[in-house]
Amino acid sequence: MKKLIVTSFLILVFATIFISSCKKIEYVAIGESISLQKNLIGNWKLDSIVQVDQNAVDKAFPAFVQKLNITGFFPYNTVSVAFTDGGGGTTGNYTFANPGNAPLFFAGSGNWAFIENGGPLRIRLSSGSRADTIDFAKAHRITDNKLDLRYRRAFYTGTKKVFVYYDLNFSKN
Amino acid sequence: MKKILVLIAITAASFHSFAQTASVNPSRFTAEDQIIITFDLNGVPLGDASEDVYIWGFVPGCCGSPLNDQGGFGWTNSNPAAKCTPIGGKKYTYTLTPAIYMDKTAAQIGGTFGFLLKNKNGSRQTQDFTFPVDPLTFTPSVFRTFPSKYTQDDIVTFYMDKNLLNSSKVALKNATEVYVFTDIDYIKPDGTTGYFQVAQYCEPLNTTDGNYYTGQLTVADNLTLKAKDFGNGLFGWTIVPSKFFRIGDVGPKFPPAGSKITKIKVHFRTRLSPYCPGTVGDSGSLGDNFGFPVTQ
Repeated sequence: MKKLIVTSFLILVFATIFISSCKKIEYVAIGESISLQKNLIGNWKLDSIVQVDQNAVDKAFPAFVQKLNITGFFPYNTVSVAFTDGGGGTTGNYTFANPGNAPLFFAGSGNWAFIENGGPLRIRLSSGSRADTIDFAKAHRITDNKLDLRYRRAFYTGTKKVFVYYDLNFSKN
Repeated sequence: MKKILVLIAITAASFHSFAQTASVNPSRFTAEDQIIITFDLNGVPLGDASEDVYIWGFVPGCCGSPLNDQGGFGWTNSNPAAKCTPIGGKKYTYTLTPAIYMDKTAAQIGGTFGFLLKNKNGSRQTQDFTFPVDPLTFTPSVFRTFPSKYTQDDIVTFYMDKNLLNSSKVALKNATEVYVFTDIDYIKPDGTTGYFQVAQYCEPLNTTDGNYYTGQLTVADNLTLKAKDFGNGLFGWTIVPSKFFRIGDVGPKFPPAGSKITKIKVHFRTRLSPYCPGTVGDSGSLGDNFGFPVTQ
């Protein structure tokens, strides 16, 4: 009798495990893919600009000496930019609108092109003999309607050493 | 059974990490301080008969030093640059600065730095030694800039913390409106140097150098010189130096195009200068002079 009880109990346990292991696992939908390239084209309004002291970040100094939101220091709320597709989605034209003459770090208009060179995807802004490189500060989905770009200032003493950068945060216009 | 136990004992012995001592001087250090590590290998089979010993450094939970395994070197073939210096009595030293040795920032190194000592082929080693790393501390000061390094084309904020002002600066400590007096030293494209200042109207006029610019022709306030009140006694004045000091603008007073600023001086003061007749300025109205080398 004792053997029968033990056997029945074991059958019940294994049956429970078997049934539960067959239960279909519900995964959350992966959702829209993130594409830096596709997310650049469009008209963007500058929402905020944050200046970051890389030296203070490297030294783990307090937050108030690491970052400074400078959006209100100059009329950045009037700045917008349009990136147009020149065909193929890897080059095109860009134009900044800056009626308040807020300080920017690149020519007001020109050509843009993606550059990789084996590293992260970057954007080259060219205007005449001038060329500046900016990075994607954050990856967004197209439906996020957001674009975060980063402009870095660096020393070149043998190796590149960034000492300050600016995060420009845009939303779709 | 006995053979198995002997085999286990031999195997364990071959992987044994010998207990030794290591000390660091100074005993408290930051990631940017140079330290001298001293190892005492007495009583352990490492460093005998003039055997070279090598440091193998790491940040626990992060990474190892590039000296460990870059440039074709590795655990079984130590880098000569990691060789320790014998000082006699089976003691060895190695001098390093953690941030440089690890090629990491203080933030990346965090609170612990570790290392061990080994022979060249890695068949014998010491135990791991870890030492606490003190954080770099930000020291508040009356004047500072944000960011700490910048070019003349960057946005720069010059700060003054009234709370830290010398008690003799009575008027400035009591001021609710703060202005600046500012000037620069610069180098022209032809290599000659220049000086250029921007101030409120009531400055002692000195136009003989041809580089004087008030930016204002009336006694009214020049708002471009007004510092922003950030609250709690903190005032800041934000500019893009190349634009504010009008480099390349047409006019004999302005620095010519291509000029490079070598120093910016910003003097915080009360709204009215002590040089203006009938004003309330006093001996405490001027902030301390301070200059900033500009990163180019």
